[in-house]
Amino acid sequence: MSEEMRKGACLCGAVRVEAALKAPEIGACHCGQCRTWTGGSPYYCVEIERATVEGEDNIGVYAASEWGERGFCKTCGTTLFWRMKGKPLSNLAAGLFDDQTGLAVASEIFTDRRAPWQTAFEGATQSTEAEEFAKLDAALAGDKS
Amino acid sequence: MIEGRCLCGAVRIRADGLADTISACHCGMCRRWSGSMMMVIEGRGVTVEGPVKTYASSAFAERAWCDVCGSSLWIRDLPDGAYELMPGLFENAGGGRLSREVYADCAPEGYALAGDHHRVTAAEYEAAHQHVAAGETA
Repeated sequence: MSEEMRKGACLCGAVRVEAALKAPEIGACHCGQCRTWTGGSPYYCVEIERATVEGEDNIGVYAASEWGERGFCKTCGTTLFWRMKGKPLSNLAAGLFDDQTGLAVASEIFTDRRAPWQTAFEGATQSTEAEEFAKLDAALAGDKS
Repeated sequence: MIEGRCLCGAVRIRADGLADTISACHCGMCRRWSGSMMMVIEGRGVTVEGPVKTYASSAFAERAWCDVCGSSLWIRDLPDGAYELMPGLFENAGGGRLSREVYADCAPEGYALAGDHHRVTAAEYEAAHQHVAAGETA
């Protein structure tokens, strides 16, 4: 199976990525942290198998919780990624990619935290905060066993 | 008076008031910077405390974020334009409602917004804001 590779960059170009996408799909996180961090929208991201990143020295990382970290460009402030602490990069902000063709929202999480102007994307899976925290607890317990 | 803060709380933004309308921008610069689309709500009488960094993304505008957590804070025309603040900094998005999408025809289909709010195309926006057409490309 051929992999889908896409290139992307932050606004100033200090951080450049080339990623192998898991699928041309966008995940939308409506949690309060994401909406504060991005400025109002959900965090829209694309799940990736792996990525090569140029300009890592320009990436600022903030530990936003015991388990999660958020990356941004220290030169222009572009929203870059959310990742599990100590894990490889597994998603990138959707807007980074030069070519947006075919990217569509396939899953939405923390749907009970959705902003009043957002409506559900047709056909996207839906998961509430309680459902997501149950998955997170299971994942964290798995790490400890 | 309304007060907002970034995700980590290091930056605090106070405004005498906020507009009651939120605008989303789908231009290529805003898409890249915000990770999808940029949302703004205009603030009046804005004061800012904390570790803010700014980037001049064009000859006439700056974008600001928190240097600690990377939260997006505002876009503003230089040198003294109104603060177009990110509504996510405020509880309940500052009470604003989405009223307008600009560069609506540039919105990737993946994150199109539903609703009957006003939609402005790139050509319409640039005709009304000619410095944008000249200086900031999508």
